[in-house]
Amino acid sequence: MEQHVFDRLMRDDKLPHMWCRGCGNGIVLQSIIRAIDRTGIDQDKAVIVSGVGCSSRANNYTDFCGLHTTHGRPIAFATGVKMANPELQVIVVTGDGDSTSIGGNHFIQAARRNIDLTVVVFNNSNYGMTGGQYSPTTPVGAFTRTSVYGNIEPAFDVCRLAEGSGATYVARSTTYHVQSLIKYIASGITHKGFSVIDAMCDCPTLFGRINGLGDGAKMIAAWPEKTVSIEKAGTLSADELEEKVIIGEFVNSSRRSEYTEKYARIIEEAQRERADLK
Amino acid sequence: MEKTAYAPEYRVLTGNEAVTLGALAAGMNFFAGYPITPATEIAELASELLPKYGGKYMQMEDELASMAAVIGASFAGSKAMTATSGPGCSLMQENLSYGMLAEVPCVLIDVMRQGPCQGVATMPAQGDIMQSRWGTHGDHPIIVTAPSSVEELYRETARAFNMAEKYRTPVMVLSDAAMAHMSEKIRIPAAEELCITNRKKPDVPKDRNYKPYEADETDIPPMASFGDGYRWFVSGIIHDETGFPATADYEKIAEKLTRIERKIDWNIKEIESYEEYRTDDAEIIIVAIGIVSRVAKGAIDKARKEGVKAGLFRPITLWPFPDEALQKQAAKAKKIITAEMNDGQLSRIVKELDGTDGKIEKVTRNDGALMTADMIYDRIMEVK
Amino acid sequence: MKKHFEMRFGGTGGQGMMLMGDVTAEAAGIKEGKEILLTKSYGPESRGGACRSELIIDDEKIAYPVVSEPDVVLAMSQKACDSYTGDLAAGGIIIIDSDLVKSVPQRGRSVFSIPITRIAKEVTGKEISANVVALGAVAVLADVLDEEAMKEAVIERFPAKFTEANVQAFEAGAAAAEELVSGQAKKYA
Repeated sequence: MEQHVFDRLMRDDKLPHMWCRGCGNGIVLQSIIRAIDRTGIDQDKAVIVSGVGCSSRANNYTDFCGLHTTHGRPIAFATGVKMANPELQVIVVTGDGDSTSIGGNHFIQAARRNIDLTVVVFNNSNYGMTGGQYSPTTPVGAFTRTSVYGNIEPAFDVCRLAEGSGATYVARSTTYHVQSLIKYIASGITHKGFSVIDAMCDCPTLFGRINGLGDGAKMIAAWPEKTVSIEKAGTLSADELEEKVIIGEFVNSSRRSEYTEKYARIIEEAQRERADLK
Repeated sequence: MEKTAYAPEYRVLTGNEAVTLGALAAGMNFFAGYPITPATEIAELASELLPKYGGKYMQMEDELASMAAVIGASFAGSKAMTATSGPGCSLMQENLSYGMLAEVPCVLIDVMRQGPCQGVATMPAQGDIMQSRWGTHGDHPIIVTAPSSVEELYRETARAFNMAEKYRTPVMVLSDAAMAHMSEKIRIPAAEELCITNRKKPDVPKDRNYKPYEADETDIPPMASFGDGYRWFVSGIIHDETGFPATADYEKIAEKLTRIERKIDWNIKEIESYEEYRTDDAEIIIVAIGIVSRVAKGAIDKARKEGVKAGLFRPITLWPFPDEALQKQAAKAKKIITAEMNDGQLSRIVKELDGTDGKIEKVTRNDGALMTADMIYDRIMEVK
Repeated sequence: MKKHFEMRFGGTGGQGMMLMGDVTAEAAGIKEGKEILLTKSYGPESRGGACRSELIIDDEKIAYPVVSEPDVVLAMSQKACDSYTGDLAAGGIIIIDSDLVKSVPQRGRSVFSIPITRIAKEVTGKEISANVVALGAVAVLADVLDEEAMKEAVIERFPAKFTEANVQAFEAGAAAAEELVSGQAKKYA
């Protein structure tokens, strides 16, 4: 009998996971596993790099090479891994705070370079591991442990940030829209270039409770109401889009060359010059 | 004029050039960095030469990312280096501590400049003696070497790679703004002389049961590379031999932290390197590193002409500090003078050593100019 | 001959003063087998500011990388002459480009006036060769240097297509210096 994908690609000895009941991270993780399976990449040639935060524990449970790094820096570590060995398929699992706050610069610079990394942002709108403080993706007005009067900071749109910085594959889905989440992650992995998948997920224990959003199931069930597809969004006015989360593929472009491929050409040229000198 | 025949392996190089060429000779094939005076030329030369030899150069967005990329590249099997100066070195401390805990072979060059903060970017100093040892949070071992000439920068950078590979640890090399930019004639050693060392690879079956932190009697675990068939996990959280976090197990935490200290301690005689100059009968011992040690010799020669028995003790490996050797000198000396271009960091180290009580004098310089032989000579004559 | 010898090449950014240091260091260090120590300093401007390279030559290891009493100072601009000649060693010499330096602050010192840049233009058609003319002059006037070694170092420094022009420039500089020396007897030995 064929082994189940979870048995093949996960470390069952590391389960149960450390996430709270109802946390959306598990859904994102299983979407990554299924996406990897769908792309058929070599299990021995994949490296999953994570930062610090709830989401960054995801690679504890996967059976690939795993690099659990420092807060905000996984994309920078991953850049070194990918650059040193471009044959490796490098996937970054990170959170909203990890990737757009403390690691914001690494995020936009890697996007600008268009280096072939697949970044999955577990976007739960707050810092879960430290107990639920506001992050750069917390909606205005939302309550967190450090915005008890309501958040006054406008939120980053992770996809627009990635697109504006030069990412060549950008998509967003939610823990409700799992099939498209899997599809986008798989596309990101096969895409040659910097890919960002903004995976909207739920933190019922902290963000959900303080904002009265109900338990995990209820938060997941709320996504269809809160989201609008990118196709439909094009037909709506700004007012109609207010407070809506747009889901779908934002960018899927092969117009810009990938960084390690460009560097490979530099090596070729430099070595030719060196040979000419001799 | 009589001409001396010199083999063509002699070259005139700046300190920064020597660092890059020494690194390449040792097998560097990855460099990530961020421009900073007075270290920039190391990156410039690396960017030009690395691709010629199939290596990779990356200019990262900052020093945090540079150190991160270096560690990532090392995990993927590269011999990786970065180069910076004090302010950048401060930013690298975060991921340097990752390198310590996760036992990542890599080399960090710190071309010291006058500090703190921006300090004076173009002026030499020796203010990173303590930062190089204690710049990160927590306890960890580190190897730091402090060359004193362009030739030694070449050799010590190559040795830094060898030690990083052998002991699975980051190694720092302290240069300074003066040595970085001055040119000296150096002898380029033959490859065999550099005794190139490569990390020990695991020989267990390639599967998910490989334990990246399971050490043999040497306390140094063999290291696989990402992509070579082992599936392993590594974390910046204190981990057990499997690489996975071991945060609930006091014994495992202590075991990890003790082992990484022990793997350096056990090899201290091999790591340690120092120079003694005219110390046989010395009653006054000058302790100096790097560029200061050069003028100290002049001061010693001058003092000896006046009948004062002075000698030099120069740590080449700054950390671990060659305590025993200096203590031996200290025991027979009447006075120990630390000479350094900061407010007395070396002096603090020497003060902690046995047998130095009441003997320590210091001469310091913090204005960004080089210490002169006369400053040291005058101090010798004052305390003799 | 003096065991410890210091020289300074000062001018304006773009005149090739750094390269003069490199070539002289190569000649003395590699070709002559002496110990050398070369430093360079720039003003804040990349082009047009005062800049200098300084070379110490010794028979033994050089401890202190600072030129404090230069035996030879070359000044290729008035500003360089004003700033870089004050600490000249007793018995030291100053070489100036006589078209670019109009006054020398230190009276009573040995000053060798050579129209360095003009000679370059006459010989090679290019002002940029001025530093090679200067190298020829320095090779003759600084007794510590070997003229042949210097010439070789110049030749090796540039691509082969420049060899002819550079040798001409070097020799013209050397000849101008010889003329001055034979005219007034060698001032420095």
